[in-house]
Amino acid sequence: MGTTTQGPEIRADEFCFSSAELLPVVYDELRRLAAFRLDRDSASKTLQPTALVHEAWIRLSEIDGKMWQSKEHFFNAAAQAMRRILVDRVRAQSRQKRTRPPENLDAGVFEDDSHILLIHDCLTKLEKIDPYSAKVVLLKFYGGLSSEEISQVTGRSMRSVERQWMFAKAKLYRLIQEDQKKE
Amino acid sequence: MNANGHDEEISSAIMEVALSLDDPDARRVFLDRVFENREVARQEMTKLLEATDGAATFFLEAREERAQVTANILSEAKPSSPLPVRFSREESVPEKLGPYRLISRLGEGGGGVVYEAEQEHPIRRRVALKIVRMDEESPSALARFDIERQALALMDHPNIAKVFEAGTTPSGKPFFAMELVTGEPIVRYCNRHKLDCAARLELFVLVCNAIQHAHQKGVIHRDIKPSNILVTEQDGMHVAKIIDFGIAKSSGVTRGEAITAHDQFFGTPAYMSPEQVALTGIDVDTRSDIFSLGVLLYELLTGATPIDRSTTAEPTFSQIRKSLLTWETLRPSEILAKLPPENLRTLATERSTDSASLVSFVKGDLDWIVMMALEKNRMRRYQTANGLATDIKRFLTHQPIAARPPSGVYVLAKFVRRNRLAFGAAVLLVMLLITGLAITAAMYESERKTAIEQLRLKNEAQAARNQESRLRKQADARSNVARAAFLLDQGRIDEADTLRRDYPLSSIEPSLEAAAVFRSLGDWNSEHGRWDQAHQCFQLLRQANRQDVAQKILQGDDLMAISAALLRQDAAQYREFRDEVMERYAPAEGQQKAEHLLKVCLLYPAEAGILEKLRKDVDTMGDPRRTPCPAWSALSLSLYCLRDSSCDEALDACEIGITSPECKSSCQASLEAVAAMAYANIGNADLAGTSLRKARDIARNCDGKDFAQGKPIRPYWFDWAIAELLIKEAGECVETASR
Repeated sequence: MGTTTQGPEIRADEFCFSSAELLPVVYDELRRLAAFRLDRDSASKTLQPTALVHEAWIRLSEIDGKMWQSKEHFFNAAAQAMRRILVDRVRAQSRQKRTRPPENLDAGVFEDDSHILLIHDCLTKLEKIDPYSAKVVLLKFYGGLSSEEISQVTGRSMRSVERQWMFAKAKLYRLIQEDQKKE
Repeated sequence: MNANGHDEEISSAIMEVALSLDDPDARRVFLDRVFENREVARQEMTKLLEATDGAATFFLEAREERAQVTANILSEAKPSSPLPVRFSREESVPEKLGPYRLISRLGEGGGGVVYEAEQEHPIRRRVALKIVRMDEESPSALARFDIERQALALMDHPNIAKVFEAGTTPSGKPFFAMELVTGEPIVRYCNRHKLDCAARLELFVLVCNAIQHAHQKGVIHRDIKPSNILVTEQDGMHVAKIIDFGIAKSSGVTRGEAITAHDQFFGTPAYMSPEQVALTGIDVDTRSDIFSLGVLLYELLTGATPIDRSTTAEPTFSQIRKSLLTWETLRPSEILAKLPPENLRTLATERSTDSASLVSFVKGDLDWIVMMALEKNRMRRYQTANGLATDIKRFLTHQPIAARPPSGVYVLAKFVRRNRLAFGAAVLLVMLLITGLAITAAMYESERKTAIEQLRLKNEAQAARNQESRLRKQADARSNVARAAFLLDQGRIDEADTLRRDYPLSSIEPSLEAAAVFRSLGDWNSEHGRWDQAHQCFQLLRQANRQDVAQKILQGDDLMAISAALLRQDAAQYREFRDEVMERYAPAEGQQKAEHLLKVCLLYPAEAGILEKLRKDVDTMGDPRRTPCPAWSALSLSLYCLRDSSCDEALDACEIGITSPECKSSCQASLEAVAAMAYANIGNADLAGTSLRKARDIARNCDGKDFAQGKPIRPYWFDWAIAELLIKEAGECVETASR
């Protein structure tokens, strides 16, 4: 994986979080930002986590005394955090579904074939066989980064990122299809 | 992971190239070359390529799920903490940008926000100033913007809003200063001024010319829609100006990203081309604009865009995408004919005409032109905006168009119309030609037979109705007329010559060109009960159709006509034809095609193998109620269930069809016949008898005419032929059961 040349420089005496440690921080920050966003612009129905990740980066990169190893490091962590948040949420909804009468199913995604869960499961597999494709899916789908940004954080050309995204989608989709066939 | 990483990168590059090849044959050859002797890898790649479309759908749905889940999470979050300062940055716009003073905000589009501004020097004028939304920190985006603005500056066309200047704001955002266009969006303008269809088409031609100009300068619009085409009246003329050119691209997003950059939809789904919404990684080119022009033309004529928006009030992007990729667009005349009468009247009034004239104006050539512009496969679309404009101009001057499959009859008809012969004479002329070629057709069939056989056919024809025998006497004049017509018709001289040189026509193959003749003659004979002749025509049509695109044939009515004509004559011939249909046309690609295929193949009991194969088409067709023609789909489904011995399901399907409001009488008769068979099979003789009686009553009362919702509509002979075949079968079935 290429490393960024544009991220803030790391000084040896500075403390760096690990991805696992980042998770709660990112989560909190995302929730805070989200609340702010909703409060200000409740009409924004199309709100996606993607914008939140960007804003979180801007905020967190400014917090004194905490330094991310790199922009790449941050976006990876944030995307992983979003993945966890989304997956946990869908799982919780599925559990609710099983204990609730069916007429309350109107809002939300309660399907067992939740795309978010399917992508999550197969992404874990893809990480083992094709890490670059898996990274692109992680940053694109869970992190909501544009190809341009992914190209900045991975050091690949934008064209390469776009090509890989198309390839990774097909590959992941094949894994999902295979899984569903087995069941 | 290095070697592996290379492998993956190479694979994705191969995939990208393969996807960029539109032609399936070219794609196959490409894969053959790349994966020489590596069958496993080749298969893996083929599977990946097949998965791209499903993957794009899947990820779009996933993204919508993600938005919903996020919204759920966020709705529970409590507002807290002070507002971060950085968010307001986006909104801050300076009052002055170089020589421009911003006056008011005009609106917001996919690419950015548009302001009205006043330029103070060197000349004082009002301009439109668009501040482009993009990532100004990205050097490559800025570089692309620079290239794009040079292209925009090259455009100089009276129907394109001029770009005066491009620059960047103090915060680094690019902006364009453009000609300030006042005017009304084209559709609204046309409706308010009650422009008739011809005036609309003339205006549309201007738009095509402007788009052509841009394409020649290498600029793709990417977001053609009514609100980007503003019309004003100047000196009694309607003048169109296209705005927002190429902005979508210059904002630094490419390919599929263009639509969904930062999760915001760029462009307007209803006007986007399938390749724009497919998101399978195919780059869009100028032909994408042709599709959008087709949508605009569709809307100018019918008042609606081709996607069915009735299913959901606010369709999500993935729904729109799905319907764009799978929905079979109804021809403009079909959609008009399906409208409630009062809506149609409103549309007609907006076009300064009456309902019947509107439908007949659109039906035929305009249908073809619109459908060719809206081809899902861009290779089969008009390749240039000029081509589209030319066809419309030819239509307006009654000349043959390129979109329509050429046939002698058609070209001749155009010739007659253009020369303003009396209508009767025109009909006579067409009849002459058809009859002339009819003999050709008959002669072809008897090519290997003896001259005596030919004589017999001749005698048979002579003994036919008076009108035809009178026409036959003019056989020589006939060929001369046809010849003259062809020769006089510009652009078709060579073909006409070839056709005539090879006279007598016994050598004419049942070619694509001849198909229309066989079809017309077959229909004519069928409508007049001359089943032997009709049978011959349809045998020839069947041969001719083998040379056309299978799915296109399946979309049309030919297979239904042929199967009805053959089965009426002889079950063995029908079965042989059915085998060919299964071989060549199955599986169907799309709901309506599946409906046709099922009906054609199940007019007669079918063995398990056929049913097994057709199961896929039942799935493709889906719930009849969600198809373009619910009653017909219900008939297809009921036939499948009946042949599959699932009589209860067959009865359910019949019920759906019979209660469907737009069910035609012929369709209803067929459904009752199927119901009679289903009842007979489950041993309910009473209900079987009732249904059979109903079917027979409907057929007898209609007597070849057809009705929908109580009103007479144009009957198709094969609809009734099919109904009669099913009624006959039901009669035998009920009789056997009661014994």
